[in-house]
Amino acid sequence: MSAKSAPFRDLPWLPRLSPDFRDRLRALVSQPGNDWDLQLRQLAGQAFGVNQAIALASALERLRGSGGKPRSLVPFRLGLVSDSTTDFVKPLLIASALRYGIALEIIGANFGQLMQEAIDPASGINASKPDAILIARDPRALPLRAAGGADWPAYDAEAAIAEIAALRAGFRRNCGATCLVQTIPAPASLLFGSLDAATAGTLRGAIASLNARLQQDVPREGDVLIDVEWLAQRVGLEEWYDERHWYLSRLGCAQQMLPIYADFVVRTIAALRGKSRKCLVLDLDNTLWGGVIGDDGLEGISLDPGDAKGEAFRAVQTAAADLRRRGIVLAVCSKNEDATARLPFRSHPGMVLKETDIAVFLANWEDKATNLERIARSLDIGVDALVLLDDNPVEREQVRQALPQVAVPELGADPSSYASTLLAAGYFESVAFTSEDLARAEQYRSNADRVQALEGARSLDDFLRSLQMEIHFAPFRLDNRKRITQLINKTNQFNVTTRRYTEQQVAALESSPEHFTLQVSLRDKFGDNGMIAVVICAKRGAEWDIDSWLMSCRVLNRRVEQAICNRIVAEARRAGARKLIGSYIPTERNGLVRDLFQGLGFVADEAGATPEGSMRWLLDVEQFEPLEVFFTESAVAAAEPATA
Amino acid sequence: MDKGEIRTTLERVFQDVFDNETFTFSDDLDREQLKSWDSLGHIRLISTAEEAFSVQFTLDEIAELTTAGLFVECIARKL
Repeated sequence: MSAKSAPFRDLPWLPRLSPDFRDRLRALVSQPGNDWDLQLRQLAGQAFGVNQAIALASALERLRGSGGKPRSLVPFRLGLVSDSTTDFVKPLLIASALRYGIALEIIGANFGQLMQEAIDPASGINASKPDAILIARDPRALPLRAAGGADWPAYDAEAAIAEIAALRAGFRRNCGATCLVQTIPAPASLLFGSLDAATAGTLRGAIASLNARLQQDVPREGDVLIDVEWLAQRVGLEEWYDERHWYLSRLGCAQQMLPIYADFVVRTIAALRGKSRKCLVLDLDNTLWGGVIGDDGLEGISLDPGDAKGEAFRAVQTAAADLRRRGIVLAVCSKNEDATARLPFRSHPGMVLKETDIAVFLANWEDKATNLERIARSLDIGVDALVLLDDNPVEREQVRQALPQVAVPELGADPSSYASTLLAAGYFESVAFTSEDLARAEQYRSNADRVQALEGARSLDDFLRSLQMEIHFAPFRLDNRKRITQLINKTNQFNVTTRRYTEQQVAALESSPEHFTLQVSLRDKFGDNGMIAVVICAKRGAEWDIDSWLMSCRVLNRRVEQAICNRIVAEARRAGARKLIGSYIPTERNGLVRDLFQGLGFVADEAGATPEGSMRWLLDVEQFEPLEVFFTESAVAAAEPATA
Repeated sequence: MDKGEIRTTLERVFQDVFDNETFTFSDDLDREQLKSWDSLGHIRLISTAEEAFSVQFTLDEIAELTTAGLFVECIARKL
């Protein structure tokens, strides 16, 4: 263990680079096994620098050619519009994306021709139909200098604001991809001094105005901000800028900043693909409080305001409580007696977290990997949605080996860094915040309660009846647009075609006469599940083709899919359609719905089967008998409209 | 740090930057001889050496460091 913990820019939550990194990478490239993608991801999970990133990116390129299909990697095509030389940035982004299970393909813009790239429909980026476009502008290349020669103002934001808006509008018109727009770091130097901040016409003032406009316009128009301004502040402007790199090779930040910069950008891409973590699993002794409750007792553990160590542990709890408030589910996994582990939650006045904040509480003597699997199962989420916060390096290592999908941040010897390390790692990155997120932690807890109720019920039908479920159907609408887009882009398991759509595309569907759309929300006696399913059908005369059908796994085994099928058929019949077409396109994660259409009474269409496992299913609308369900249909949406 | 130690550390820097573990350090090595020692390779070499020795090179030095031996001399002056 090093004497001094790594600074933020060196990604301290990741395991350090292993001495045999190069050897392992070389061995993998020369003799790739079937699981080469998993091995590569594991290497990318270390804190690499620029040189290793270049080696990782070129290894990925070679292995994709020779090693066979990367089954665990999701492809993502990114247009890159940058004022910096992209030779360094590209391999860093590609290597960092591996960390999140994404195989990134980058289409660069020609140097100095960013605007042409956006407005020419046939430009390299537009023609490549990217999934998203990163707009990485630099304050030294934006038109921030005011026109007007030697007079004041020296700087002005308007031309730069217009230029970035024109880039976004061009790409929206010509390829429709989401733009990821970077905010601009503050300048390293001031002209007056403190007066700059309050004086129009300074560079500091112009950049602040530009960022304020980006913060306002970008999310409103369905694009996504990447807050590089904050990132540069976090590492420190002193470290961020290295003017020599700008003069020598047009690199906008010091080369040493590239690993954290790339990870920061790629988190947002991962969030767009629904790969952000959903649940924080907390160890107790020496993680949530100082000391061991079983040995030290209630009076012995440090958790008191006013005591330095107590404050540090309370800060960890406050961070967890804030995450819960924004929709991250909390769980406890501790080697302890259950009653002992719960004691501080019930009786220690210094506790910030309450027992009711914890969706699943596992205190026992089994190994942590087994318990983590159990937690994921009872919440109906994947193990890859978990983060484990644990002070014990042995436990961390055991979990990393047994369950490499679980994110396990490295923690230093000092608890005062725990909260900031957890939050700095970007596990819970998000591209939208909706009222669904606000209610989620509560929903997962009531789900755990439902599992209990199930054990008491005589039969599944009795149980479903006892849930007093209310279902609500509505077409796509502006007020839920963000939530619909979020579901479309992050649902992996119950998703028949896994087609992803941007917010702009969803907006277009709201008024499309060629499409039938459905958003489904569900409420029951334990609480409001919010919006839980989305359907898109393409209308083709007498045939309705189910383009997308996805559902939150939280409501599996509740006959929601039967209710949705009833509804689609009823609507199709009303519109005069005679046939419903369902498609299944297999991915690594959606085996769950392989037999969905068969179970609903669809008949296989052999002509639609492909060697890759895609299947086509047909349903005769007129012959269809409604399936048995246990819902009442509510007139109003169960969930409140999405917050702005 | 004497020049021998500087050479040992620089050897690792060159191996890392040019992804070549069999690279053996020699003062005579010239930018002209190594294909991957191009302008971007040079910037990486500079940055990696700066980190390894906790030094900083000036723009003039960066332009003049065209052989491995010049690196050794320049770093020795700074330490």
